[in-house]
Amino acid sequence: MYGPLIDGLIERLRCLPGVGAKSAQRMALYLLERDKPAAERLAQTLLEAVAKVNRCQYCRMLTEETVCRICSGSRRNKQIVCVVESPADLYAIEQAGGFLGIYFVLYGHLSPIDGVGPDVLGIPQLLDQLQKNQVEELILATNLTLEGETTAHFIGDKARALNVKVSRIAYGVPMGGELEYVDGGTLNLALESRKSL
Amino acid sequence: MRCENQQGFLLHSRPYSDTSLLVDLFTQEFGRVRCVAKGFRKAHKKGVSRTLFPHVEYTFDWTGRSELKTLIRAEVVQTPSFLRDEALYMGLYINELLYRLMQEQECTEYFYAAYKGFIGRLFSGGAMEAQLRLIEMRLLEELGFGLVLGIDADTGDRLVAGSLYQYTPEIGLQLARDQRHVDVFLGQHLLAVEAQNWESCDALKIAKKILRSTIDFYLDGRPLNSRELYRQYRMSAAQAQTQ
Repeated sequence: MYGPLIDGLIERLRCLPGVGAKSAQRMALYLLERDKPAAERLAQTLLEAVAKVNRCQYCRMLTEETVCRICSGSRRNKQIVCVVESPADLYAIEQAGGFLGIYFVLYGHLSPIDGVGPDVLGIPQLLDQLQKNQVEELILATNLTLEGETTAHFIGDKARALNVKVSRIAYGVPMGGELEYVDGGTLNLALESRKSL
Repeated sequence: MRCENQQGFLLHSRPYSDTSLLVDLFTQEFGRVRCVAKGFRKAHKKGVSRTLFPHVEYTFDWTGRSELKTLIRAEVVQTPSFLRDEALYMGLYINELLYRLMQEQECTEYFYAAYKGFIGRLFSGGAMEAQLRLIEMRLLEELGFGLVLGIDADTGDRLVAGSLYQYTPEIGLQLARDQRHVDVFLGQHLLAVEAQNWESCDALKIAKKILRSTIDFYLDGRPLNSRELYRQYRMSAAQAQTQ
């Protein structure tokens, strides 16, 4: 409608999550019409990022170096590894600030129907690292869905066979949560994984 | 068309757009139904998402005329929980089997009861191998591929207890031409499988072999990934036991 370049830009912007035809058009027109310098910076940064960002060779997190800042940080306890499903989960735990170990990002969960097996998630690499780095504890922080549980279960069994202490993040009542409003499944799990005071 | 108060289980869900899910349900009256569950990934007011769980019975409402329905309501019949250990892998296996073999909207009230009973037994624990073989047989029967185990396919006569037979999917049992072949079964054992008499260990092994070749035949090259996952689980379980 606008010409091949503009139409092309609108089409490319639609690859972003949550961006449909209308939003893509708004974004493209804004960049071209009102803020061309910003568009240039965006294009440059995007190209650079695509060229330089890779996965950390230890935790598979996105990084510009070979080893990410968390894995190379001197204050980090490398004997405690936390397994998460996605980089967003890693950010969430980092922002909470209570964890000082290192991570391993799976980029998904085991799902037989979708054809996602242990190799796709880098589980052999994780097990290899557990052995090489003499890891003391493996914390499984996958989601509380059936796939997340299966993944935790599967990795837990393999790690235990390597004599690594395995733990699963606790589930239960959220902070500030009122029991009356918590669903039955969560309440049952909270009672099951209760701890003594 | 609106369907209300349909009992069913979730077979599989995958993310669909930002906040929705694409769900495959196995329901009592309509068999497999595929729905879009709009907004089901969005956090609820109290911070709990409406994500659905497999192996849990729900009451569903959906609407829509096309093959892809819109899920309106999903209410748990009993409090959801997760299967553990070996039962978890069996639960994944049976769901993948249903997902791959059952066509959409096949009527399956009889099989639904069997599936529900099987899931119940997975939660209550105990030996499951015979149960797994039975549910596989029921599923094949339901799909019209039921095994005929007591009869010689060539002659139509009952099997002879002392003779050796070979099994071919879609054909059935025939007198073994090459008796040294690995997959040759004794009539007596085949009759035990037919009578679901699992006391002899061989009956379970034979049922497993026959069912596996039949299931693989109807899968027609499609993978069954949960089987490989279960194999790996068994390996690490055996490793842990030897330590």
